[in-house]
Amino acid sequence: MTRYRLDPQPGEVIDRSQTLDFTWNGRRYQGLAGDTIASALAANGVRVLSRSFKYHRRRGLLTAGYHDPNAMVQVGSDPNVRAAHRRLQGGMEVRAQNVWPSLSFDIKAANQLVTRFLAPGFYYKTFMSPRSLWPWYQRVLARFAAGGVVSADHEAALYDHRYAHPDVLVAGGGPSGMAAALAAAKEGASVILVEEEHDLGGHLRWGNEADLAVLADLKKAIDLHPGVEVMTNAVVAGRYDHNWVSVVQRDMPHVEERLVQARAKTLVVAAGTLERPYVFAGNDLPGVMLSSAVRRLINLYAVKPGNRAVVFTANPSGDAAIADLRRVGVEVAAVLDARQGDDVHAARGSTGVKAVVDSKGNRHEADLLVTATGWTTSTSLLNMAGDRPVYDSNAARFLPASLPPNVLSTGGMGGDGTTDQLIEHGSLVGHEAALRATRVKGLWQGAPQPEVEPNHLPALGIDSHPELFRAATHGFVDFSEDVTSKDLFSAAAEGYDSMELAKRYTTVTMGPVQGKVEAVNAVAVHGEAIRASLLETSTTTWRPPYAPIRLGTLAGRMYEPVRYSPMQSWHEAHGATPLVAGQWIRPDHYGDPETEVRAVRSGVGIIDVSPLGKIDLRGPDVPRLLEFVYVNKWSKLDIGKVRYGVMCAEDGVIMDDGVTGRLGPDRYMMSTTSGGAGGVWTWLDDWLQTRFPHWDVKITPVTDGYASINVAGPQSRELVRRLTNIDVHPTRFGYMEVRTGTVAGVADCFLWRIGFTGELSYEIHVPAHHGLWVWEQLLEYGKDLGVMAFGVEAQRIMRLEKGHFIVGQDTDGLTQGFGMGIDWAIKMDKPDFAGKPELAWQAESGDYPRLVAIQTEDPSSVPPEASQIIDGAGKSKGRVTSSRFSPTLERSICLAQVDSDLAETGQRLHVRLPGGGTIVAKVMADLAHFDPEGTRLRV
Amino acid sequence: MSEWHPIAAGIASDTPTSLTGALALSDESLTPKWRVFADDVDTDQASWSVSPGEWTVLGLRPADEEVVDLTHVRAMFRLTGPDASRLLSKICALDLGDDMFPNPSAARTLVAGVATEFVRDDREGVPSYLIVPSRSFGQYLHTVILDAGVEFGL
Repeated sequence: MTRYRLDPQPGEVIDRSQTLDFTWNGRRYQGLAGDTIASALAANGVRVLSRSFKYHRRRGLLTAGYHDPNAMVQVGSDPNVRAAHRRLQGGMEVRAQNVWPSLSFDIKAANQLVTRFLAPGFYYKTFMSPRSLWPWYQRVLARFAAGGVVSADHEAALYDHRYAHPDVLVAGGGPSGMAAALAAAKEGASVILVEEEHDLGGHLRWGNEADLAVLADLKKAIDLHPGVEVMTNAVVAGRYDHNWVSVVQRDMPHVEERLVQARAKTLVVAAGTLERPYVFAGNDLPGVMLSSAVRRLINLYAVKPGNRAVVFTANPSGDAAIADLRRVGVEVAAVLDARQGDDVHAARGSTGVKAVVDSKGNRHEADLLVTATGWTTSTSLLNMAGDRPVYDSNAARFLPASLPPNVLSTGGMGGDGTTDQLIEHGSLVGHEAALRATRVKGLWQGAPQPEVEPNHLPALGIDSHPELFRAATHGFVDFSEDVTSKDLFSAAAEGYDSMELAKRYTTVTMGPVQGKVEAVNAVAVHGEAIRASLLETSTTTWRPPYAPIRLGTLAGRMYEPVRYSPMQSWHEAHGATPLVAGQWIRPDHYGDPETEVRAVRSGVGIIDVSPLGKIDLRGPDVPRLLEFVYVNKWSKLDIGKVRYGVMCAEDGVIMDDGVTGRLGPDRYMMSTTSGGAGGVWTWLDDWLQTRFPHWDVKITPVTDGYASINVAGPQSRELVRRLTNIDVHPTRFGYMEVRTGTVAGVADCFLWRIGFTGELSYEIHVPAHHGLWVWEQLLEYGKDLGVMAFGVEAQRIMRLEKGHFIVGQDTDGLTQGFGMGIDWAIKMDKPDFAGKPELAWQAESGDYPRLVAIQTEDPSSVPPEASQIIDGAGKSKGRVTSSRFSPTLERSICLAQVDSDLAETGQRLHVRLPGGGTIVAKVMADLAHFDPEGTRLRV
Repeated sequence: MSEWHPIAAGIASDTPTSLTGALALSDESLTPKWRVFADDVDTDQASWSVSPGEWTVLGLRPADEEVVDLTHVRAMFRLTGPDASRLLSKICALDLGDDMFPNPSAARTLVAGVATEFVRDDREGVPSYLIVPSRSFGQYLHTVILDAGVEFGL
């Protein structure tokens, strides 16, 4: 048995049947299940847990809770672990942080010897000049920075998020919080009860047998009530507008941490109080502890906190600590009672407390000094809700001032009382919270709510408490940042007479515990230094998060939706190289895109073009809509015909292109670019809802309803003929026509004859769930024709050979309609269409970039896309928008946007390559490098 | 064309329906679905509307003159069980409480970043939700739902 472990205690949370082995700085120790890392170490007599930030002074347990500034350790590859909170697990490798070479002998402790040179602002003042040495300073000082070590091979962990919509969220699971949760749930409210510790109960957990009995009853009632969801080992990290409350749940069974994003109709803050340390000489020696720390160690973990104690008490918590110490056999050498005028002068010792000197000069030999000098209200959430808590000198703590109606507080935050009084107050607040939640819910549901004044809630009484912050000696105010009361006096003397400035100058309250333990002392000492009362002294601002959150938790799961075509399994099985195109995963190629190009040009190939946007349009007014959104004319599109169209936005910029076919009298199918499908749908709906609500047009996006397969190449007609009941004879199914029918036994297909690749081709659109079937039948029935699947890369090469632009690649966010090779399509004689006024201005100016086909002088030179086209002075005159080596022409081919003065056929251009060097290219007569007459697709 | 016997493929058909005590996820993507353009529909079949003048109807082709077949356009997953809303709370921000989203309800919302029609359609008193995204997101959403369901034994 470990030396400091006591006999069983009534409220202990340890399981004596489960021994856990762990190491501390490489040495083996044993603890028990239920121990925190710190309690296990304390049970083994380990007193020093860390070295301090600046002076590398030995530090031991102070608060023995989550916010203990002295108990940050490294566990495995996990730095900055709160040892007084994290539960011990078997096999843990725990190390002290920020020490070298070891915790017991730390060379940087030499900093203590030069304390007077490390005054506030030391780094700012010392390392200012010369400026040239800043990088070197940074490297050296980084070695002195505190904190653990982040390992590059930190084990991957899962984090996630969850949304919650409780009627009432209670922050704090002490007696008042539990009572509030229960009362709200009894009113029918859905309640989330959040507790930072591993168990509900607050201070009742380390209380006497009566406290434990009350706690057991409350816990049982909560367990039995289905309306309360309890989150322990969780913390409300922030409160934002309209009670958007973030809760971090730690050490979940399946995730390391979870961020709960809760929209609470009412928030009950029952965060209680944290005991605060006392400032005196030697107040950071290991063995100086708060009364609540001592009571936790004894009652929760059955650990003897020392052998001989001096207790400095100003309140019942200190008195209870004395009783606890005596009960478990710790000799109480002296009781210094602040209420009787006693005070501490200093604690003496080097590696830990050896003796305590009181204000009368008496020296008491002791290894433990317990202080109980007051409480700090955990007002963070109230501040985040807009409250400015006010200091009450009678209570010696801050109390809530004015809260918005959807935030209430109860428990120790607002006053004092017996356990029964705290529970009664919590119940009243919980009941009121549920009522207010009902009203909020009504508002959200749109039901008119009568204007009512929120019920006034009775306040808890206030126990008088002496104001105790600092003894006659100086000591540490901020244990995390090694800021002493002397430093705060120095800062004040240097003119930092505002707390906000003194904070930033001294870094007081800026360490890992963020002021929860030390803020009130800091404000009090600062006030003392500038001779102002606490009421007159400005305070610092509490901001979220209340407790640290891992970056992984903030990120949560990465939800990046991806879309697959129905033929995805075939592509994967046939070695397709995936291409990420927006959300779509598409086959870029199946090995060699140039072979794929040749197969199409000489025989037949098939490509999965399922991502092409498809929008089903119905109604008598569809032609009017088409006429308005496309730049070209649509009024006379016969049934069975398709037409290519370009859309411009109001600014005349090309936004999308595609073909639309007429399938029936009032039935049309519009295709869009793969990336533009969503945007075009919204665009059409926008116009119909705003400017043309009287038009009878029904829009249904059906992109995913069809697997789309482009069958391209001279043999495509023969292949399609073998599988369909549609007459594909060229005189009866001509270029730019659409037919409906059956393909490979699949009904309700539609086919259109178009030619993005420049070849005779049929785009087959098959009800999606049959897509894979038809795809495989095409390959099966085309075997003797040499059919080959081709990917996006081969298609891009072929469309470039043919000179077809891609919206978004050959055009950009400024590219207006004219000049892009579609001038013929823009019908300025139409009464109106989207973008017309801007296009009119564009045409009038005449000065706009032109899209041209260019070919390099050296046919083997393929300039990278985005290569700049420059004039003699090196000024940019355009850029290469598409560039490939053409396997068909066996030379380099490009599209480029150039200024109008360089767009003439035969113009020589200088193309500046990104890696340096310039090559010469010339402007071609036609956008199409291959088959400009279009004979191949009209066969 | 009688030589052909086309095979329809569901999105997640290679993944069997997951059945546990608390939660069941089934792929009902092959269920016929229809878009009907009307202010109201008169049918016994499951139906809902999340935008004015547009209804989604499941099952037999509705008698209306103007319908669009959505069977292949949408995937459809059914998540049933007492823990269904808890699972969904990890991937959907909607308040699924009985008072805000009672049975039956329908909404258009995001599930794990995918815009989807989202329907509460309880089965014999047990909470049950239909998630009806565009078909191409089906595989992704199926994976996401299974991942979110690990802690519920899905």
